Amino acid sequence: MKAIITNKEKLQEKFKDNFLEIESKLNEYCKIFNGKLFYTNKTKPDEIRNVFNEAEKEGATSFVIVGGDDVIPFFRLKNPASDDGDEIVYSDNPYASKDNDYFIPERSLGRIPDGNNAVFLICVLENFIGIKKDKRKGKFGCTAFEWIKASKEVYKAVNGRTLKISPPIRSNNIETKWINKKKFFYFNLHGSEETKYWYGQKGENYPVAFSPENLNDVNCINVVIFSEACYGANIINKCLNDAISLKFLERKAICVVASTKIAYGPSEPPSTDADLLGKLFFKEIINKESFGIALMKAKQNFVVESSKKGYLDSSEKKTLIEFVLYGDPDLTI
Amino acid sequence: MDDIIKKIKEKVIKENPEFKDAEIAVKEEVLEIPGEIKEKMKKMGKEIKELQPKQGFEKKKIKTITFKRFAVAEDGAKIPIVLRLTVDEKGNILKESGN
Repeated sequence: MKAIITNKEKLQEKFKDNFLEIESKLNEYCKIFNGKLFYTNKTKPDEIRNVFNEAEKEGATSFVIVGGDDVIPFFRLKNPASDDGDEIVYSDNPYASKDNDYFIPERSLGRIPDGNNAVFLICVLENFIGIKKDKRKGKFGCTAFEWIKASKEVYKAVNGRTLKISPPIRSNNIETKWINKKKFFYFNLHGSEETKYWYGQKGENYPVAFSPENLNDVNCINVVIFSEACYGANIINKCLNDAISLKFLERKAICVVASTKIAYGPSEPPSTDADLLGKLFFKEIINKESFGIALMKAKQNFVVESSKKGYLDSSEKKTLIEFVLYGDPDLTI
Repeated sequence: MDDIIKKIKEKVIKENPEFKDAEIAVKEEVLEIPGEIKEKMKKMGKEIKELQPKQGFEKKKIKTITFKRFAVAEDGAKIPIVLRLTVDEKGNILKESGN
């Protein structure tokens, strides 16, 4: 059984007249996916976490949070790598963990954000309700020039060969045919908390490499995205045109895995931090694991791999908590 | 600032001159895999094995040196640029990662 967890009062307050339509879609979603709706009026993450435990006792094997941070808040975790300037890390990891250790998830979990827009939420739910498998295999990968070697190593996990490199690639010279009707997207670009763009890098040149507008006329049905861009999953107070992650969902992508804060990686192999997590995640989904299980297993295997040196360092701990999944955790490619 | 940090700083700036005026933070830590994590992983059927078993699961003393600066993108946005190095007691660089 899939547990769908949200806060009715918060949704009502936020979406007013549209709430009934949202509730109707949630019920339809439950019906299609053997789900059960769990409403909570709790607003503190620690208290909301009890709902996950209760749902599990009732037989839930996967968990979907519906709504943004103001409906079901992210945990605000202490940043293990706090000297990078991020004071806290927004995370869903503790919801996926059964004990007090929140670094290693044990549950299949995803979040369907609301994009601060009722029509967006209804469209995303409708997309999941009406989902149909396809046989697409195409991929698009884009890396900052400075990280070519490291990115190639990650992209190999989805049999990706040719990465677009920024610069010279810029948002305004990306051709629709490169990104239309693909299956996998991989990004290793910079991100900023201030803007909606992801950036390339060559030396001190940081061009805009990808923007929400790049997806305007693009068919992203059933697309899976892994992005290492800093703040790539930052959706707090964002609407769909302010965040590439939300724009992908609006264009009917089914899974976005990205980071809420500054994410790390090496400039060349071996893969560590976000690169390693991306590689392990792609391996799982290629093996037809569901997205929620794939991210859970990727994080568990990340701990195994990263611990071989005898410890987990602070950027590895941060990587484990800052990557979140937007989408339905039970779907597969 | 001890000699190791000084040498690392010189090396980083030589290879990456853009970090010349970066903010630098040094954190010294004694790290190990906590028993409860090993136990949790074992329950999941995933055993944590150290690559150099001769040393066993000893506590590791490392220093993390963080260089932080802001870059300005073509559109004027400020992008945080962070370079993190972990070094052992002898000053060997164990890991280098950035964002």
